Amino acid sequence: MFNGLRSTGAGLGRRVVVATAALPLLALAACQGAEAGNDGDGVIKIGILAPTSGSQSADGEGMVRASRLVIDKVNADGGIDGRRIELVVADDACEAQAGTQAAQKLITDKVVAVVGGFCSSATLPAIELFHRNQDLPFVVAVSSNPKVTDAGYPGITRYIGRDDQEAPVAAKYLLEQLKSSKLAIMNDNTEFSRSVAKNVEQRVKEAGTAAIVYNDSIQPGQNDYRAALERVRTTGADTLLYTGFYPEFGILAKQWKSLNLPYQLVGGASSIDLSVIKASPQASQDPRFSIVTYPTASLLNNPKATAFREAYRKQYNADPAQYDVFQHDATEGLVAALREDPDSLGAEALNKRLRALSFEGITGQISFDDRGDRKAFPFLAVRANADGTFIPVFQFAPDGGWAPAGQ
Amino acid sequence: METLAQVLIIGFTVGSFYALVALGYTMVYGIVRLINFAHGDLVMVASFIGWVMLQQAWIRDMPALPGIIVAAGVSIVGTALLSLTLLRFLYARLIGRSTLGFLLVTLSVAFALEEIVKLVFGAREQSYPNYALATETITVAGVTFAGMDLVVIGLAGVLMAGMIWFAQRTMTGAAMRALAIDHDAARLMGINVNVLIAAAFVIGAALAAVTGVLSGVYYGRISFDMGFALGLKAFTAAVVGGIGNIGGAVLGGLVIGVLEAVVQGYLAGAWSDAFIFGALILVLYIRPQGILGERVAVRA
Repeated sequence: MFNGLRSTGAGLGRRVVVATAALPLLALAACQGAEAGNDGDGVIKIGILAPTSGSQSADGEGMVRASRLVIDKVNADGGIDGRRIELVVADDACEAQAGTQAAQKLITDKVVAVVGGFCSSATLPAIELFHRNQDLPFVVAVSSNPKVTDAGYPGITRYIGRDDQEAPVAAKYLLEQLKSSKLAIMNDNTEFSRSVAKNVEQRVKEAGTAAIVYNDSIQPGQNDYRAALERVRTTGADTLLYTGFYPEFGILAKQWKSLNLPYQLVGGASSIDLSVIKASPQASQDPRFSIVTYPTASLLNNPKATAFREAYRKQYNADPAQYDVFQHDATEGLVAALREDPDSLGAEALNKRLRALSFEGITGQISFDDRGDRKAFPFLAVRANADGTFIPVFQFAPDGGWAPAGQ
Repeated sequence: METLAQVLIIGFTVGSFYALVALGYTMVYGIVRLINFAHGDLVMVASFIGWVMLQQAWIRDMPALPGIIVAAGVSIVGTALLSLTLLRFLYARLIGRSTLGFLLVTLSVAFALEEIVKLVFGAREQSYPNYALATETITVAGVTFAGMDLVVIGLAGVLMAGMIWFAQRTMTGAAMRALAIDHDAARLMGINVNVLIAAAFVIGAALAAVTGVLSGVYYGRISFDMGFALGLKAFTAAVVGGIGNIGGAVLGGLVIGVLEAVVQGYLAGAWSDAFIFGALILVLYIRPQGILGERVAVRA
């Protein structure tokens, strides 16, 4: 039981990482007419909320770099109506308390908006603080927790999908693309994983074309899940969906391959990590293997993504971190909203313009519903190739459903 | 039927790992009547030592099997030295003086080892090289199992048989058993108590090192927090089997491993820990001394 507690804790930690990795907070501080950020001349200050220290510091650094790439270009091209943009970086360390302090720092610095937000644990308290400060615009890049937008604050626009978007998309993938008729669902006993599993189950039952023959948890932190995989085989399942996190998924994939099991193996959005390929290159290249995931930096294959990766590599001599594409799009969105009316950078006006944006970003078509969530959020299904990287095999468009990924 | 055979093989493999670690708890307990809660984390340190060795170019150039043996050898020596150092500088002063102090210090060492490894290697799990022999499978009469299952069960069996032989048939083993009965009487008979205590810690550490490297080679994944859950289950195995009894540790490990596999394979995976610790409570209720344990005499 002690084991269970610890494992659950670790699982939540990872989830927070994933959730927050995707949330760049681009908040424009709502400055009053006389304040520095909005006085008609001088610099425009933009805050970045990101974990630049702590366990997620690599992702946080990446977010700062992605924003800097966009802003450097804007400044080189003459800024916003002649005014330079200055970035103010605040470190949320992926923790609630540090997140609150970082948000306070940005408010004190009189930024016109904030972009960033990786760990939901740090993003959520920051959101409250910005809300209490005249709804300082907060462009959330990577935090996928539904609570980010469920509060209904007008200052929030979010560039990554919601955690609860995963289940319907995964169910569609299993039923329509993989044509599963006997489905097995496995979770890792964490709150998040169980809820995805439950939602998938519900969608599959509604569709009525497949039977659910297995729906159970495994205990994270163990090394041998062959008995559970074996049990899935005896149920006659044609497909197994795992909704937990990547460390266990790597082991499951390896043992699934070594037992040569007859069903397809699908990982959910928390299962993607290069360590899965490392755990078993043979399994992750198997045509019956795939992972349903957000479109992250290395997975996107469009001219904008390629240009971004090249510019990033040129400036920083490194590859972008997985969630930098969302921070990039969020920063671009904020710049577009600033440009629309450089004379009116107050929170209320800016929030309206941020919500009304509609443009093509690296991560697809971007526009927002009345909560501030993306109207249409794309997903991918990926598999490893021989070079040891993931490549998309299917893509999900909210209007067209699943289809083979075009190159 | 094939499924049952498969589940049992998996259970014996997992149980062998638990049994090897349980032996470490039981050795130390048998002699000093104390629980070393840092023992599970020695497995973790050992698997990291093995991992570091396997990254070295000169070992990578070797064929797989000799490379693994060299890495395991270095890991055994390193883990044994670590265990001796901890005994000499932290534990020795507490043995026989403060039972609670010893428990707390070993618990602190467990957390310290985890934090140190996390600082050095990071919080992410590391992967052992992908060995072909770790994924080879054998199918006999419809039952598929990994070749490594046989290696793990076989190696654990040999080590455990060796331990029993050592305790029952050698002079040092006899001295250890004497020590387990009465420290003072043993000392009066000319037994060097401190050397034997050190020997128990070294043997436990060596078995932990074998477990750590073997688990890394087979399952591929190691992480800074892998030792705690393993240690707790192995400790449970030692208690279920009858702590202080070598055969009991082996039996307890196998019982827990098979229980885990059967629950996962037939009942509900989410309940496997509940079953294991439920079994612990049940065994202790019926036989407080464990399955093979003897009633421990009250010592002066």
